[in-house]
Amino acid sequence: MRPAFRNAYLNFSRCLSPNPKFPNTLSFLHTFPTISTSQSPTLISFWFGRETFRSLSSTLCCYSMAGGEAQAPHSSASLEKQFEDFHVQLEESGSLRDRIRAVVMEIESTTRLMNATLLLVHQSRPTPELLEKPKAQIGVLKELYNRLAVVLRECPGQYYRYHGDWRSETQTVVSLLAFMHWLETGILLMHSEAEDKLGLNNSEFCLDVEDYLIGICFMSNELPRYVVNQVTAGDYDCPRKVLKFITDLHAAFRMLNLRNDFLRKKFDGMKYDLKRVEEIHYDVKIRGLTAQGDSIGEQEIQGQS
Amino acid sequence: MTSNDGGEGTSPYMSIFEGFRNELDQHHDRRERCIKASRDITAASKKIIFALQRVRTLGSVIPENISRTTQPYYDTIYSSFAAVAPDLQGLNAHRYARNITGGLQEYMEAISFQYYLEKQEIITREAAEAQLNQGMQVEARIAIGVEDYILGLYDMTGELMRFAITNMATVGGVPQARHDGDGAEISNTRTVLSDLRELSFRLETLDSGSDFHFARDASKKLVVTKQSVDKVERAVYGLLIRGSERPKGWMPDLSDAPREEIEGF
Repeated sequence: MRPAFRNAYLNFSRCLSPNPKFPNTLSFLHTFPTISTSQSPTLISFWFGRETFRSLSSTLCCYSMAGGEAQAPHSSASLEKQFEDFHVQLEESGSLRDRIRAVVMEIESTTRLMNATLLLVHQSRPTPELLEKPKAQIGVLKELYNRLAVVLRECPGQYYRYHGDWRSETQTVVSLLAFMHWLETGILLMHSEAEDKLGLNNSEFCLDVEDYLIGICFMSNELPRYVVNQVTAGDYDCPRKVLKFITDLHAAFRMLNLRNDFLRKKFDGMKYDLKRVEEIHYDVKIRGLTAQGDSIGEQEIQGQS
Repeated sequence: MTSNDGGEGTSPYMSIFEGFRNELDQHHDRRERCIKASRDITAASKKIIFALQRVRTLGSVIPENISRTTQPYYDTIYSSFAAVAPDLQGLNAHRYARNITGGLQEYMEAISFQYYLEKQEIITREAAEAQLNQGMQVEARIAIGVEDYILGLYDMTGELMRFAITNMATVGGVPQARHDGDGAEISNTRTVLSDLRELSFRLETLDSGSDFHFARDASKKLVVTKQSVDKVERAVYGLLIRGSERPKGWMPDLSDAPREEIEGF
């Protein structure tokens, strides 16, 4: 029904323009709305109206065809051409995005695998052996990021157009890398080191600073649980070390002028991590459980408070 | 929180984070400049569109009294664009695209509407981009993305609707150009309604692709565009059916038209 209506309107509009050549048709058209308004518009009169329209539209169609006005779309070829180009462009960017998403999904499953192994630190498995497996996965990640960079090379300058597609996965990657790095060395994984590990240092495809910082915040969320479990397993020195690290980290983050955004929210969460670690450190210390040999470290902390 | 207050100087990561601070500050500054420019451009474009709605002819140059009104707003727009052009170069073009797109769309709406009034044609993206970048250095050009262009055209259909209906009410016919650019008479079978239909057909049949934000915006605007076409069609119908009974200054009754439009009449 609807196309018939549209047709009718289309043809009316054409009749409207120069001069109504069909006075009879038009005067007939005039009579019918008066019919339907004089009575209450019942379903029957409505139906009658629609039927009339349909037959009218075909009549008018014939007339306008005869007038040579019915060649399909009149409008500019340039508009049509443009929209064809847009179609191609949008399609290309769509397929590019599909390929990006395919790689990102692999990154995600790799990080899930790494995380599964890393979670074992909470069960107090010896760290060096435990890190072997996830460390082997770093190579896989590097390869995947390389593939991503290759895809992106097809559209130079558009890193940030597709950035949203790998952002959150990359933040997770950073948090895992930083956690592993900290378990090994006890210090923070630097931005450039993270880039090195992922092979992102010499191309347009870089590691966005915000993503790095958010990843570091994610890592800090992991620390309180680690401390709790280490203490349970008998490592009473752990809270002091972690407290020192997270205190430094928190102080460094406070240097940043954060806007009211996601990074800000994550940073705000870090102070709860810090607080929890402080409480554990307190618990251990107040009970005299800390080892004798760490009095130097102890002074270090006190020097800050 | 308490134990580390005042002890910041000892954190070994301080100097590195100072670097991050500078980088983030620059990033936020660029972003905020784009947001501000976008807002200024939007406001000026809206005023241009209001002025253009006072035009009563199609296919001739904008009357001088109206172009005198719009000129200062165009000046504002171009200086706002020039101010953020350095922030939108290279990688940053897409980085802040979402912050400037509002202004770009509104600007597209204004210039495509003016272009249509003057030529009864839809401006191409290239022509729009050339107009935006007139007098700008090559290395400081701003691109109008396909998305900005299309979303701007969506908004422009609402202006065509207003223009068509006001014209029908005041002049008594669907507007169409009767002269070409040089003032010679032309036979023209296209009207605002047929152009509006064609444009909405093109917009509706374009697959918006996999960009979530664009697809969402486009589908929202499509609803409004369809309503605009529908309104003009109803108005034409009303004009035809009740044309001879129409007292002077009568406005087509659109009271039963859907009401939830964003840019309504």
